[in-house]
Amino acid sequence: MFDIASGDYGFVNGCLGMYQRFANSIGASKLNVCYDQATGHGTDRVIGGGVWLWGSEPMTLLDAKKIIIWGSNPVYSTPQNWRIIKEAQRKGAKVIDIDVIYSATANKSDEFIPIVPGSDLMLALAMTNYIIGHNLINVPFMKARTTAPFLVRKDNGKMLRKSDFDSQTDPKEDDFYVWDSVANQPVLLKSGPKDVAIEGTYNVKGLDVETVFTLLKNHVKQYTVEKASELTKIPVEKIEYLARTYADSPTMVYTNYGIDHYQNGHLWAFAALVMASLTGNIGVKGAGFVGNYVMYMPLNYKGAFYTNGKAATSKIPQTIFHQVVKDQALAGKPYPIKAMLTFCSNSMSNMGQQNVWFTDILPNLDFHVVIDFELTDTARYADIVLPAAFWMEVDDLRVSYNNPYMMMQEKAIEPLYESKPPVEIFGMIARKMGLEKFFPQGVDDTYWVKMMLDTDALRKMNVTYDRLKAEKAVRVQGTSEKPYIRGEKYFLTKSAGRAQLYAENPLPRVNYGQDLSQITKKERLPYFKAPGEAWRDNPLFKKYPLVYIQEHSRYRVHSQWFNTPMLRELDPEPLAKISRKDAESRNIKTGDIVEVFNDRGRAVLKAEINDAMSPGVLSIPKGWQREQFIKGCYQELTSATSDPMAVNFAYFDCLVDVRKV
Amino acid sequence: MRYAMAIDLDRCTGCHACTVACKVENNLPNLIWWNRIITVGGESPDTPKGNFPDLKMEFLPINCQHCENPPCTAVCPVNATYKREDGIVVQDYDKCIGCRLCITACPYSGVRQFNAKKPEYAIEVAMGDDGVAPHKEKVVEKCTFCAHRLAKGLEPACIRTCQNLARFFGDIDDPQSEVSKAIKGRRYVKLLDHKGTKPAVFYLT
Amino acid sequence: MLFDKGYSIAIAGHRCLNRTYCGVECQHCKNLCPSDAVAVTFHQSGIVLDKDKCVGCGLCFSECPVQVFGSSRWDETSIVGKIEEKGWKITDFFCGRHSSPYQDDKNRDRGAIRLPACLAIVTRGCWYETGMKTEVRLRLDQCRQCPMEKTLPRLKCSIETAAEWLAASGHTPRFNLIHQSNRSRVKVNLKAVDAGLKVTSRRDLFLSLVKEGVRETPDDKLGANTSSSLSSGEGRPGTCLPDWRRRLAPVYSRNMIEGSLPAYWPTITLNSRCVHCGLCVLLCPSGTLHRIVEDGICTYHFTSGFCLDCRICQLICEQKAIERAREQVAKPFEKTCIYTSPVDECRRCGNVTSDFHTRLCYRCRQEVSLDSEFKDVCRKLLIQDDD
Repeated sequence: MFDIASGDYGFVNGCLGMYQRFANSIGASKLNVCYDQATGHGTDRVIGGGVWLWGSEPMTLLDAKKIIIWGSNPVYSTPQNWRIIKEAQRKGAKVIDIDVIYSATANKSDEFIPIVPGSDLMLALAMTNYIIGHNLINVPFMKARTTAPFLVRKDNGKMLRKSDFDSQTDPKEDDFYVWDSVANQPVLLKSGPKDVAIEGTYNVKGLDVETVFTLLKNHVKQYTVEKASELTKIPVEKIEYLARTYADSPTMVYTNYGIDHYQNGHLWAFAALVMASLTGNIGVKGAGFVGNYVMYMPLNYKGAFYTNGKAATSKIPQTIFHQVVKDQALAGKPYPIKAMLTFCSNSMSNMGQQNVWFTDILPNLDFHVVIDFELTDTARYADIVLPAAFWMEVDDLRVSYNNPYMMMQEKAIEPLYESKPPVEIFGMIARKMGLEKFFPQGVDDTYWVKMMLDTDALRKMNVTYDRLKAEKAVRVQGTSEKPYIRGEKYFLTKSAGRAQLYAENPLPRVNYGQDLSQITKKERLPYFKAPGEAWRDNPLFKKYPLVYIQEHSRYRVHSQWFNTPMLRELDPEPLAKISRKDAESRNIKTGDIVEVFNDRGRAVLKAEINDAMSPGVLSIPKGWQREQFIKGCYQELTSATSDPMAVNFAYFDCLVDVRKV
Repeated sequence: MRYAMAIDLDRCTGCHACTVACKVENNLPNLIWWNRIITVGGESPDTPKGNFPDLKMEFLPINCQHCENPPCTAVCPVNATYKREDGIVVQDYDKCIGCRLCITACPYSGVRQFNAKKPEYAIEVAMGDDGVAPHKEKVVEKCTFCAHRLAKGLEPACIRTCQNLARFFGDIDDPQSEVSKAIKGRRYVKLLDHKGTKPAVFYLT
Repeated sequence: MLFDKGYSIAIAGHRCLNRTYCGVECQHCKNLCPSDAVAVTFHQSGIVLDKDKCVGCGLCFSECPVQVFGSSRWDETSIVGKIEEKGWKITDFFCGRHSSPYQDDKNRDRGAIRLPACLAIVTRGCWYETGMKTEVRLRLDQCRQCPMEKTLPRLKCSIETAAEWLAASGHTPRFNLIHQSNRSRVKVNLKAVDAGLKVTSRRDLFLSLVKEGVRETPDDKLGANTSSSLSSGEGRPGTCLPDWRRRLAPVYSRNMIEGSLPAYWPTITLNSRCVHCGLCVLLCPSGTLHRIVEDGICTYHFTSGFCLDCRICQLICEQKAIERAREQVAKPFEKTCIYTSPVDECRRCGNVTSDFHTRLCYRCRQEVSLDSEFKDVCRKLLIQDDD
């Protein structure tokens, strides 16, 4: 089992690199990463592109009239983007921050709207309802770029297609029906009707249908602003104001993975994208979603990785990994896992419900190898740790989040001590396993870099080794005058490149045999689903009344740099940040040693009364390792329970209490 | 000719890039910071002030203000600190006897730091520029406006690294310099200006 | 004259108190210079000697408390060496300008020495040592016409001090100042012996002679270290003790005969206002004032004989805890304890503190309170700013 996450995005020495060549050569399987997947899973339903391709280039923020920062703290988590938001603000854009806690972002924003943890979905739905109800929708946009005029069969919930009447239709040629409002009859989309109806219930050749928009409109009527106000604790006027502000396009939503960390995260993304599609706030200049801009690069994956013709399977999500290892079975069928290689990942620290490592995972693995350059928790508990060379000690090729450049990474120094570039580590192991043909002796990083760049598509883009070597960074999407807007021409959907307001056939992000029968139909439209645990209606809420979040600290990137001495001088130890009200009711003062606990685990650490915390929220900034706590660890408290569709760790969907020790 | 710095507090997010860049460039020993960030909420970093949700979370980076009228140089009993022609207040480690009178005379507390013990470093290799004077035990040290970089025609490390583009540097007497342009038309404060120190750091508000 | 004009005078400017200590304003050299050739500037540049104006008396050699002035060719220890070698009981001293450096009469026990400069070049310590060996007759009979006449009071003062020390250590001072003299008969065998020159190799001598005519700018760093005891790192506090005091210490102690009336030496007292900031100890140029911490007790030590009388300790003390005086000290070169106090170690910087409650030293306490004061100002500013 290969356990790989996102510790390094290098195309040679990182998680996008040659480990795949090795894994495929030996026929290994791969864990499916379950971090930060829900937002993308939700956006995928509307604009396609999978879980990663949803954000526009951050420079597009400069064209926005309004920027709503929703569940994100870019000042800490994506500071490279913050300066662009700031510049947009200087140019007159209004910046609104919706967050559970007060952050430096909130401080710099024009307006801060606090919200109840996990209720963002309700807010989005109510705003959508208000926008539709008050006719703030952008009808021309909906007609031209969304599936709003598409017709949905009432009998089976499927879109009305050419193939519904003509079984001979080539699936590739299949077309959607819309209602031509001029001719007042159903027509195929490709026939180019003058005008289409976005509302109405019709009967087409005996089939009862209604437009997607009508379906949506009727569906969201239940999410009144009043109800949302009650759940989100945002005043009604504020929600209405937010909805009006949002609809007055172009409005940009800046988000990342805050809301993602609840079990309803993907639904929020779904709802938010639907709302964007209704108001024309997507795929146009100055509007859309920014926060995680990722580029797909047509590198030589096939040639470099697929040594046996196919990719390693990755159908076991991290969320259920402990169960699979414990049972040595998946969905009732034997699935023996005895050895694991962890690379580019501090899984023990970053996967929810840490204690399963001690009860289920480690006792049932015979052999665990970790390749890393920091002695992480995962490495500490491994059988063997192989020291990887640091980024500055290897040559590599990379693209990174939030910029449109492909970069040549050149090593500054030779690897220190016993460390080796990961590709060399894999090569040495592979050669011992008789795989010399895949990992020849005596090649350096440059050999692999050139191998990755060897595609016609890249040559067409004029991205070559020599150019990268000379320019170091090459812009591969957009231009500085015209930054890349996601979906400007079309969306990556199967609905004629339109934004989908209705998910006809919602699929789980990863199918490991989970029961979806109860929810598949529901998931076709964004609906309100309360967070799985961190919700006031949960009976557990009485026992553990605090919602526990692990905010992103600016002194670490997840767990990276946890032991960097210079940063530890600035931020020496883990702190449990508690609101003044919650601290006073528990007689806790700043500097007290407290135990944060729930049924899953505990963390003993120093408390800090922090006014940024809204009452009812407790935060331990993430990334600290076990040895840095007095006892336990922040990740012991979180849950591995995930939404069956998004299959994503819901770290913030977690209840705890705290007491002085 | 007088070097000056401007810091745009509206842009500054207290990210510590300047403090760390300073520490690396000048190979500062453990626990020594020439550049620090003050938060409104208290000693703990990144804490706000007020009652939720009516809060403020501002940041103020502080380094040596390189006063035109520096109180520190006046009290130094051994002439270890003095003002250069270009306005930079420098510290001569060879002369400094570590009496710390300058630290108490300086109204911008904390910009002068005292190496009480033999300097210790987190890693065994020296970082930063080799033009930086080696650190010594029992002497006071402080920001030099990266005089070694200025000598090479470069800007100070903190200016170069500021990811929020909040820091500006240059000759305040030259209207075309970055710092003069940054200040032009902006409201600014100079810290404790009423004390007559005439600091060379302008905080744009 | 060896020091005719100032070209062979080297200035160890880094030792000058004015250069190292702000506000001490020591002007001995400037005020005493008979030719107005020395200028003292405070801060940084220190001493400037107008070498053409300089008459080369060498008074600055003996008067500077920290031995800034010297020459690669001057070594006063050779005077005593010469007297010892000859075994003279009475010695006539002539300056380098004296027209007839001859002794009056022929006597085996009697000798004459001619110095290459004015007699005022000789330090008190050296006079003391000389007085211990021989009766000294200073031939001042031609001083009246000399441009260096102004040095006379200082020479007398040196002689008086040396005499006082001799008396205090149980010896009879025998210094005679000869103001008038019959024109000496010129007899070759009674010619005075040259002394005070550094014993150098021929090569060095040659080089120094060649260089003498060259008008070079004074270089503080090069040629300044006339004495072997001046090592690198000189000029920092605690390292500025002049050589003659260093030499005097063992001589004075060795020749001490108990029971005499002690001489007057500088003394200091510390009182309980002391907060152990340590400034006086850090700044003492000769290092004579120092402290030792042992078993939680801090002891301040002082040696009168090494005190330069610079008064820096008193000037710098914020608490006015230091009093200076001039008192009779029987054993001036013996380290004496002047103050003890139980102390703790500062938890912030490791310095000495008598504040057992906060365990912060005086400076740290100040720093901490200033720090919080300043931060409060900043925080207020930040919060107001946005409104």
